Amino acid sequence: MEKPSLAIVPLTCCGACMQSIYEDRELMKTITRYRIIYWPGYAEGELGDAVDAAIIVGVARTRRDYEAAEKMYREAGLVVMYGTCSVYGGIPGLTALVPREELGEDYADTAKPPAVLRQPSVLAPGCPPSASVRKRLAEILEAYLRGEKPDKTVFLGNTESLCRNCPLRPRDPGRIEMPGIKRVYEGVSMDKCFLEQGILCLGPVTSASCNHDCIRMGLPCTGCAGPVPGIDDAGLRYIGAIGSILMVKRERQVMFPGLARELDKIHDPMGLLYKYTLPRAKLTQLALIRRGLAGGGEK
Amino acid sequence: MSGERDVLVIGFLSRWCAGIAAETAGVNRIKYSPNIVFINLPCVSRLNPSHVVDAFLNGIDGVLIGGCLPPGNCHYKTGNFKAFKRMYLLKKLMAQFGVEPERVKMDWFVTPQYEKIARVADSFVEEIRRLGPVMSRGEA
Repeated sequence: MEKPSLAIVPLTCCGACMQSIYEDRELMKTITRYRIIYWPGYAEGELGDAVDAAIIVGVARTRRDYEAAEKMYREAGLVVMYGTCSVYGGIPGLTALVPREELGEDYADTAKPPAVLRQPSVLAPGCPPSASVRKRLAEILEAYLRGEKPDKTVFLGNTESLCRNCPLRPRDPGRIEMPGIKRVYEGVSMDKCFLEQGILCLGPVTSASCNHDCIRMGLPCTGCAGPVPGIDDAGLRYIGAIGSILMVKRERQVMFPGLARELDKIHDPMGLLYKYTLPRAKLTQLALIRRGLAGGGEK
Repeated sequence: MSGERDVLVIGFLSRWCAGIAAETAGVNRIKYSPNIVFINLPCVSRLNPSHVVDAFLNGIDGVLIGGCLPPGNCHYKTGNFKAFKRMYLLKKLMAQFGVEPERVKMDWFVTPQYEKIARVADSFVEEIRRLGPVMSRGEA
Protein backbone atom coordinates (compact mmCIF):
# COMPACT_ATOMS: atom_id res chain seq x y z
CA MET A 1 0.00 0.00 0.00
CA GLU A 2 1.21 3.46 -0.80
CA LYS A 3 2.22 5.67 2.06
CA PRO A 4 -0.43 8.23 3.09
CA SER A 5 0.42 11.78 2.11
CA LEU A 6 0.96 14.60 4.56
CA ALA A 7 0.95 18.36 4.05
CA ILE A 8 2.34 20.73 6.64
CA VAL A 9 0.75 24.07 5.85
CA PRO A 10 2.09 27.27 7.38
CA LEU A 11 -0.42 30.12 7.37
CA THR A 12 0.52 33.44 9.00
CA CYS A 13 2.99 32.32 11.66
CA CYS A 14 6.47 32.98 13.00
CA GLY A 15 8.08 29.65 12.16
CA ALA A 16 8.93 28.54 15.68
CA CYS A 17 6.33 25.79 15.52
CA MET A 18 8.10 24.42 12.43
CA GLN A 19 11.35 24.55 14.34
CA SER A 20 9.77 22.58 17.18
CA ILE A 21 8.74 19.87 14.69
CA TYR A 22 12.24 19.69 13.18
CA GLU A 23 13.81 19.40 16.59
CA ASP A 24 11.55 16.62 17.86
CA ARG A 25 13.18 13.37 16.77
CA GLU A 26 10.23 11.15 17.64
CA LEU A 27 7.75 13.36 15.83
CA MET A 28 10.04 13.68 12.81
CA LYS A 29 10.41 9.89 12.71
CA THR A 30 6.62 9.54 12.49
CA ILE A 31 6.19 12.38 10.04
CA THR A 32 8.79 11.01 7.65
CA ARG A 33 6.89 7.72 7.49
CA TYR A 34 4.30 9.74 5.59
CA ARG A 35 4.81 10.86 2.03
CA ILE A 36 5.37 14.58 2.61
CA ILE A 37 3.86 16.37 -0.34
CA TYR A 38 4.02 19.94 0.94
CA TRP A 39 6.16 21.51 3.61
CA PRO A 40 7.89 24.77 2.70
CA GLY A 41 11.51 24.56 3.72
CA TYR A 42 11.51 20.77 3.73
CA ALA A 43 9.80 19.39 0.63
CA GLU A 44 9.48 20.95 -2.77
CA GLY A 45 6.07 21.17 -4.35
CA GLU A 46 2.73 22.86 -4.57
CA LEU A 47 -0.23 22.36 -2.30
CA GLY A 48 -2.03 19.74 -4.38
CA ASP A 49 -5.47 18.28 -4.00
CA ALA A 50 -4.94 14.75 -2.79
CA VAL A 51 -3.93 15.02 0.86
CA ASP A 52 -4.55 12.38 3.52
CA ALA A 53 -3.39 14.29 6.57
CA ALA A 54 -2.66 17.96 7.16
CA ILE A 55 -0.89 19.84 9.92
CA ILE A 56 -1.92 23.49 9.92
CA VAL A 57 0.34 26.02 11.62
CA GLY A 58 -0.53 29.67 12.17
CA VAL A 59 -3.55 31.93 12.00
CA ALA A 60 -5.63 32.68 8.91
CA ARG A 61 -5.07 36.35 8.10
CA THR A 62 -4.61 36.61 4.35
CA ARG A 63 -7.10 35.32 1.80
CA ARG A 64 -4.63 32.65 0.72
CA ASP A 65 -4.53 31.46 4.34
CA TYR A 66 -8.28 31.01 4.39
CA GLU A 67 -8.24 29.20 1.07
CA ALA A 68 -5.45 26.86 2.16
CA ALA A 69 -7.20 26.06 5.46
CA GLU A 70 -10.53 25.41 3.70
CA LYS A 71 -8.81 23.21 1.16
CA MET A 72 -7.17 21.12 3.88
CA TYR A 73 -10.48 20.74 5.71
CA ARG A 74 -12.06 19.62 2.45
CA GLU A 75 -9.39 17.18 1.32
CA ALA A 76 -7.60 15.77 4.35
CA GLY A 77 -9.02 13.05 6.56
CA LEU A 78 -6.99 14.16 9.56
CA VAL A 79 -6.57 17.90 10.19
CA VAL A 80 -4.19 18.86 13.00
CA MET A 81 -4.11 22.36 14.45
CA TYR A 82 -0.51 22.77 15.59
CA GLY A 83 0.37 25.65 17.88
CA THR A 84 -1.55 28.35 19.71
CA CYS A 85 -1.96 30.51 16.56
CA SER A 86 -3.99 27.87 14.76
CA VAL A 87 -6.11 27.10 17.83
CA TYR A 88 -6.63 30.51 19.46
CA GLY A 89 -5.02 33.14 17.24
CA GLY A 90 -1.68 33.70 18.89
CA ILE A 91 0.51 36.75 18.30
CA PRO A 92 -0.37 37.17 14.57
CA GLY A 93 -4.00 37.01 15.71
CA LEU A 94 -3.49 40.37 17.41
CA THR A 95 -4.20 41.88 14.00
CA ALA A 96 -7.81 40.69 14.23
CA LEU A 97 -9.12 44.23 14.74
CA VAL A 98 -6.84 45.95 12.22
CA PRO A 99 -9.02 46.90 9.25
CA ARG A 100 -8.14 45.43 5.90
CA GLU A 101 -7.71 48.87 4.36
CA GLU A 102 -4.66 49.41 6.56
CA LEU A 103 -3.05 46.10 5.58
CA GLY A 104 -3.56 45.65 1.87
CA GLU A 105 -5.58 43.83 -0.75
CA ASP A 106 -4.23 40.37 0.03
CA TYR A 107 -5.67 40.36 3.50
CA ALA A 108 -9.04 39.06 4.63
CA ASP A 109 -11.39 41.11 6.81
CA THR A 110 -10.15 39.70 10.06
CA ALA A 111 -7.77 37.12 11.50
CA LYS A 112 -9.33 33.83 12.55
CA PRO A 113 -7.70 30.75 13.98
CA PRO A 114 -8.33 27.95 11.46
CA ALA A 115 -9.63 25.80 14.35
CA VAL A 116 -12.90 27.77 14.34
CA LEU A 117 -13.49 27.56 10.59
CA ARG A 118 -14.65 23.94 10.72
CA GLN A 119 -14.27 20.87 12.90
CA PRO A 120 -10.56 19.94 13.22
CA SER A 121 -9.46 16.45 14.27
CA VAL A 122 -6.69 17.44 16.67
CA LEU A 123 -5.98 20.60 18.68
CA ALA A 124 -2.36 20.90 19.81
CA PRO A 125 -1.96 24.27 21.58
CA GLY A 126 1.32 25.68 22.85
CA CYS A 127 3.72 28.37 21.74
CA PRO A 128 5.31 26.13 20.52
CA PRO A 129 3.59 22.91 21.69
CA SER A 130 5.47 21.26 24.53
CA ALA A 131 7.17 17.85 24.42
CA SER A 132 4.19 16.07 26.01
CA VAL A 133 1.80 17.53 23.43
CA ARG A 134 4.16 16.58 20.58
CA LYS A 135 4.46 13.04 21.96
CA ARG A 136 0.70 12.56 21.94
CA LEU A 137 0.50 14.07 18.46
CA ALA A 138 3.11 11.56 17.25
CA GLU A 139 0.96 8.77 18.68
CA ILE A 140 -2.11 10.04 16.82
CA LEU A 141 -0.17 10.35 13.55
CA GLU A 142 1.21 6.85 14.11
CA ALA A 143 -2.30 5.49 14.65
CA TYR A 144 -3.50 7.24 11.50
CA LEU A 145 -0.88 5.36 9.51
CA ARG A 146 -2.64 2.18 10.66
CA GLY A 147 -5.95 3.65 9.59
CA GLU A 148 -7.23 4.71 13.02
CA LYS A 149 -8.77 8.15 13.11
CA PRO A 150 -10.11 10.01 16.16
CA ASP A 151 -13.91 10.16 15.89
CA LYS A 152 -14.19 13.54 17.57
CA THR A 153 -11.86 16.49 18.12
CA VAL A 154 -8.96 15.54 20.39
CA PHE A 155 -7.60 18.26 22.67
CA LEU A 156 -3.93 17.54 23.34
CA GLY A 157 -3.35 20.35 25.83
CA ASN A 158 -3.76 19.97 29.55
CA THR A 159 -7.31 20.42 30.83
CA GLU A 160 -6.18 21.78 34.19
CA SER A 161 -5.13 25.31 35.04
CA LEU A 162 -1.48 26.25 35.33
CA CYS A 163 -1.90 26.99 39.04
CA ARG A 164 -2.74 23.35 39.79
CA ASN A 165 0.87 22.18 39.69
CA CYS A 166 2.63 25.52 39.90
CA PRO A 167 6.03 25.44 41.65
CA LEU A 168 5.07 28.70 43.41
CA ARG A 169 1.64 27.43 44.43
CA PRO A 170 0.49 29.16 47.61
CA ARG A 171 -0.45 27.13 50.66
CA ASP A 172 -4.13 28.02 50.25
CA PRO A 173 -5.00 28.82 46.60
CA GLY A 174 -8.51 29.72 47.72
CA ARG A 175 -7.26 32.69 49.70
CA ILE A 176 -4.86 34.55 47.45
CA GLU A 177 -4.52 38.21 48.33
CA MET A 178 -2.98 40.66 45.89
CA PRO A 179 -1.44 43.53 47.84
CA GLY A 180 -1.45 45.87 44.83
CA ILE A 181 -0.29 45.79 41.25
CA LYS A 182 3.43 45.58 40.52
CA ARG A 183 5.55 45.14 37.39
CA VAL A 184 8.22 42.47 37.07
CA TYR A 185 11.10 44.99 36.96
CA GLU A 186 10.15 46.15 40.44
CA GLY A 187 11.53 42.87 41.73
CA VAL A 188 10.13 39.38 42.13
CA SER A 189 10.77 36.81 44.77
CA MET A 190 11.02 33.19 43.70
CA ASP A 191 9.35 31.63 46.72
CA LYS A 192 5.92 33.17 46.56
CA CYS A 193 2.95 33.05 44.19
CA PHE A 194 3.19 35.90 41.65
CA LEU A 195 -0.36 37.01 42.36
CA GLU A 196 0.43 37.25 46.05
CA GLN A 197 3.35 39.49 45.12
CA GLY A 198 1.06 41.72 43.09
CA ILE A 199 2.28 40.60 39.68
CA LEU A 200 -0.42 39.87 37.12
CA CYS A 201 0.02 36.22 36.15
CA LEU A 202 -2.46 34.56 33.82
CA GLY A 203 -1.94 31.15 35.43
CA PRO A 204 -5.46 30.81 36.86
CA VAL A 205 -7.10 30.84 33.41
CA THR A 206 -4.32 29.23 31.36
CA SER A 207 -4.07 25.57 30.44
CA ALA A 208 -1.10 23.76 32.00
CA SER A 209 0.18 22.53 28.63
CA CYS A 210 3.68 23.87 29.33
CA ASN A 211 6.18 22.88 31.98
CA HIS A 212 5.98 26.15 33.93
CA ASP A 213 9.15 27.23 32.15
CA CYS A 214 8.43 30.97 32.45
CA ILE A 215 7.43 30.69 36.10
CA ARG A 216 10.66 28.84 36.92
CA MET A 217 12.58 31.66 35.21
CA GLY A 218 10.84 34.31 37.29
CA LEU A 219 8.38 35.51 34.69
CA PRO A 220 4.62 35.51 35.16
CA CYS A 221 2.41 33.51 32.78
CA THR A 222 1.16 35.45 29.76
CA GLY A 223 -1.24 32.73 28.63
CA CYS A 224 0.61 31.32 25.61
CA ALA A 225 -0.84 27.82 25.96
CA GLY A 226 -4.34 29.20 25.64
CA PRO A 227 -7.20 29.15 28.11
CA VAL A 228 -8.30 26.17 30.14
CA PRO A 229 -10.92 24.34 28.07
CA GLY A 230 -14.41 24.92 29.34
CA ILE A 231 -14.26 28.63 30.13
CA ASP A 232 -15.97 30.79 27.56
CA ASP A 233 -13.78 33.91 27.57
CA ALA A 234 -10.60 33.66 29.60
CA GLY A 235 -9.89 37.40 29.62
CA LEU A 236 -13.25 38.32 31.10
CA ARG A 237 -12.99 35.50 33.60
CA TYR A 238 -9.59 36.78 34.62
CA ILE A 239 -11.08 40.21 35.30
CA GLY A 240 -13.49 38.40 37.60
CA ALA A 241 -10.54 36.78 39.35
CA ILE A 242 -8.72 40.10 39.79
CA GLY A 243 -11.90 41.51 41.33
CA SER A 244 -11.86 38.72 43.90
CA ILE A 245 -8.24 38.98 44.98
CA LEU A 246 -6.97 42.54 44.46
CA MET A 247 -6.35 44.43 47.73
CA VAL A 248 -9.04 42.44 49.54
CA LYS A 249 -7.65 43.41 52.93
CA ARG A 250 -7.52 47.13 52.25
CA GLU A 251 -10.75 47.67 50.29
CA ARG A 252 -12.45 49.52 53.13
CA GLN A 253 -9.51 51.83 53.72
CA VAL A 254 -8.80 52.84 50.13
CA MET A 255 -12.46 52.81 48.94
CA PHE A 256 -13.39 53.18 45.27
CA PRO A 257 -10.86 55.91 44.33
CA GLY A 258 -8.01 53.88 45.80
CA LEU A 259 -9.05 50.76 43.94
CA ALA A 260 -9.42 52.74 40.71
CA ARG A 261 -5.92 54.18 41.17
CA GLU A 262 -4.52 50.69 41.61
CA LEU A 263 -6.41 49.33 38.60
CA ASP A 264 -5.15 52.23 36.48
CA LYS A 265 -1.71 50.63 36.78
CA ILE A 266 -3.00 48.12 34.22
CA HIS A 267 -2.35 50.30 31.18
CA ASP A 268 -3.27 47.83 28.49
CA PRO A 269 -5.91 45.33 29.64
CA MET A 270 -6.46 44.07 26.09
CA GLY A 271 -2.79 43.23 25.63
CA LEU A 272 -2.61 41.62 29.05
CA LEU A 273 -5.72 39.48 28.75
CA TYR A 274 -5.82 38.59 25.06
CA LYS A 275 -2.17 38.40 24.04
CA TYR A 276 -2.77 34.97 22.48
CA THR A 277 -6.55 34.74 22.17
CA LEU A 278 -7.74 38.04 20.68
CA PRO A 279 -9.60 36.61 17.63
CA ARG A 280 -11.68 34.44 19.94
CA ALA A 281 -12.60 37.15 22.47
CA LYS A 282 -16.28 37.95 22.84
CA LEU A 283 -15.53 41.67 22.65
CA THR A 284 -13.68 41.15 19.35
CA GLN A 285 -16.79 39.47 18.03
CA LEU A 286 -18.88 42.43 19.20
CA ALA A 287 -16.45 44.95 17.70
CA LEU A 288 -16.44 43.13 14.35
CA ILE A 289 -20.25 42.89 14.23
CA ARG A 290 -20.39 46.63 14.90
CA ARG A 291 -18.15 47.17 11.89
CA GLY A 292 -20.53 45.14 9.78
CA LEU A 293 -18.38 42.02 9.68
CA ALA A 294 -20.31 39.08 11.03
CA GLY A 295 -18.64 36.88 13.61
CA GLY A 296 -15.10 37.12 14.89
CA GLY A 297 -14.50 33.58 16.01
CA GLU A 298 -17.18 31.49 17.60
CA LYS A 299 -19.50 32.77 20.23
CA MET B 1 -33.20 57.74 15.65
CA SER B 2 -36.12 57.06 13.33
CA GLY B 3 -35.97 53.76 11.48
CA GLU B 4 -33.82 52.17 14.14
CA ARG B 5 -35.18 50.17 16.99
CA ASP B 6 -35.52 51.67 20.44
CA VAL B 7 -32.83 50.80 22.94
CA LEU B 8 -32.98 47.97 25.47
CA VAL B 9 -31.30 48.22 28.84
CA ILE B 10 -30.78 45.63 31.59
CA GLY B 11 -30.37 46.63 35.21
CA PHE B 12 -28.60 44.13 37.43
CA LEU B 13 -29.47 44.90 41.02
CA SER B 14 -28.27 43.58 44.31
CA ARG B 15 -31.35 42.14 46.00
CA TRP B 16 -30.42 43.59 49.39
CA CYS B 17 -30.64 47.34 48.65
CA ALA B 18 -31.08 48.34 45.03
CA GLY B 19 -33.44 45.44 44.39
CA ILE B 20 -35.65 46.43 47.30
CA ALA B 21 -35.56 50.05 46.13
CA ALA B 22 -36.82 48.93 42.70
CA GLU B 23 -39.56 46.87 44.39
CA THR B 24 -40.59 49.88 46.44
CA ALA B 25 -40.65 52.02 43.31
CA GLY B 26 -43.17 49.57 41.89
CA VAL B 27 -45.27 49.50 45.07
CA ASN B 28 -45.32 53.31 45.11
CA ARG B 29 -46.26 53.40 41.44
CA ILE B 30 -43.28 55.47 40.45
CA LYS B 31 -43.03 55.58 36.67
CA TYR B 32 -39.79 54.83 34.89
CA SER B 33 -38.78 54.05 31.34
CA PRO B 34 -40.13 50.75 29.96
CA ASN B 35 -36.85 50.21 28.10
CA ILE B 36 -35.12 48.98 31.23
CA VAL B 37 -35.61 45.52 32.70
CA PHE B 38 -34.33 44.85 36.20
CA ILE B 39 -32.83 41.53 37.22
CA ASN B 40 -32.20 40.88 40.89
CA LEU B 41 -28.97 39.14 41.84
CA PRO B 42 -27.91 37.86 45.24
CA CYS B 43 -25.13 40.48 45.07
CA VAL B 44 -23.69 42.56 42.25
CA SER B 45 -20.34 40.84 42.75
CA ARG B 46 -22.07 37.76 41.30
CA LEU B 47 -21.93 39.53 37.95
CA ASN B 48 -18.99 38.44 35.84
CA PRO B 49 -17.84 40.74 33.01
CA SER B 50 -18.71 37.95 30.58
CA HIS B 51 -22.39 38.28 31.57
CA VAL B 52 -22.29 41.93 30.55
CA VAL B 53 -20.59 41.19 27.22
CA ASP B 54 -23.08 38.36 26.60
CA ALA B 55 -25.87 40.89 27.11
CA PHE B 56 -24.35 43.14 24.43
CA LEU B 57 -23.92 40.22 22.04
CA ASN B 58 -27.60 39.41 22.51
CA GLY B 59 -28.68 42.89 21.51
CA ILE B 60 -28.86 44.70 24.86
CA ASP B 61 -27.61 48.27 24.46
CA GLY B 62 -26.75 49.23 28.00
CA VAL B 63 -26.19 47.61 31.38
CA LEU B 64 -26.94 49.36 34.66
CA ILE B 65 -25.48 47.83 37.79
CA GLY B 66 -27.05 48.80 41.07
CA GLY B 67 -25.10 47.96 44.21
CA CYS B 68 -25.58 48.77 47.84
CA LEU B 69 -24.71 51.97 49.69
CA PRO B 70 -22.68 52.72 51.77
CA PRO B 71 -19.85 50.72 50.14
CA GLY B 72 -18.57 49.14 53.34
CA ASN B 73 -22.06 48.02 54.30
CA CYS B 74 -22.54 45.20 51.79
CA HIS B 75 -24.63 42.25 52.99
CA TYR B 76 -21.67 40.05 52.09
CA LYS B 77 -19.22 42.59 53.54
CA THR B 78 -17.20 43.48 50.43
CA GLY B 79 -19.33 42.50 47.42
CA ASN B 80 -19.67 45.98 45.99
CA PHE B 81 -15.90 46.54 46.05
CA LYS B 82 -15.45 43.37 44.01
CA ALA B 83 -18.15 44.43 41.56
CA PHE B 84 -16.52 47.84 41.25
CA LYS B 85 -13.10 46.36 40.42
CA ARG B 86 -14.58 44.07 37.77
CA MET B 87 -16.69 46.70 36.07
CA TYR B 88 -13.93 49.31 36.20
CA LEU B 89 -11.55 46.98 34.36
CA LEU B 90 -14.29 45.89 31.96
CA LYS B 91 -14.95 49.51 31.01
CA LYS B 92 -11.25 50.07 30.31
CA LEU B 93 -11.22 46.93 28.19
CA MET B 94 -14.37 47.92 26.28
CA ALA B 95 -12.84 51.27 25.40
CA GLN B 96 -9.86 49.48 23.86
CA PHE B 97 -12.20 47.39 21.71
CA GLY B 98 -14.01 50.49 20.50
CA VAL B 99 -17.21 49.78 22.45
CA GLU B 100 -18.38 52.85 24.38
CA PRO B 101 -17.64 52.29 28.08
CA GLU B 102 -20.61 54.54 28.93
CA ARG B 103 -22.82 51.59 28.07
CA VAL B 104 -21.98 50.15 31.47
CA LYS B 105 -22.97 52.26 34.45
CA MET B 106 -22.54 51.50 38.12
CA ASP B 107 -24.60 53.26 40.73
CA TRP B 108 -25.22 52.73 44.41
CA PHE B 109 -28.52 52.82 46.28
CA VAL B 110 -29.82 52.65 49.82
CA THR B 111 -33.07 50.74 50.36
CA PRO B 112 -35.37 53.79 50.63
CA GLN B 113 -34.03 55.49 47.49
CA TYR B 114 -36.81 54.27 45.22
CA GLU B 115 -37.17 57.66 43.58
CA LYS B 116 -33.47 57.75 42.84
CA ILE B 117 -33.56 54.37 41.11
CA ALA B 118 -36.37 55.53 38.79
CA ARG B 119 -34.48 58.75 38.09
CA VAL B 120 -31.20 56.95 37.38
CA ALA B 121 -32.98 54.41 35.15
CA ASP B 122 -34.60 57.19 33.11
CA SER B 123 -31.41 59.20 32.69
CA PHE B 124 -29.42 56.08 31.79
CA VAL B 125 -31.95 55.06 29.12
CA GLU B 126 -31.72 58.61 27.74
CA GLU B 127 -27.95 58.38 27.64
CA ILE B 128 -28.07 55.02 25.84
CA ARG B 129 -30.57 56.48 23.35
CA ARG B 130 -28.00 59.15 22.59
CA LEU B 131 -25.36 56.46 21.98
CA GLY B 132 -27.76 54.40 19.86
CA PRO B 133 -28.13 50.62 19.66
CA VAL B 134 -25.00 48.59 20.32
CA MET B 135 -25.38 46.96 16.90
CA SER B 136 -27.88 47.62 14.19
CA ARG B 137 -31.04 45.61 13.73
CA GLY B 138 -30.84 42.14 12.26
CA GLU B 139 -27.41 41.42 13.61
CA ALA B 140 -28.43 41.01 17.22
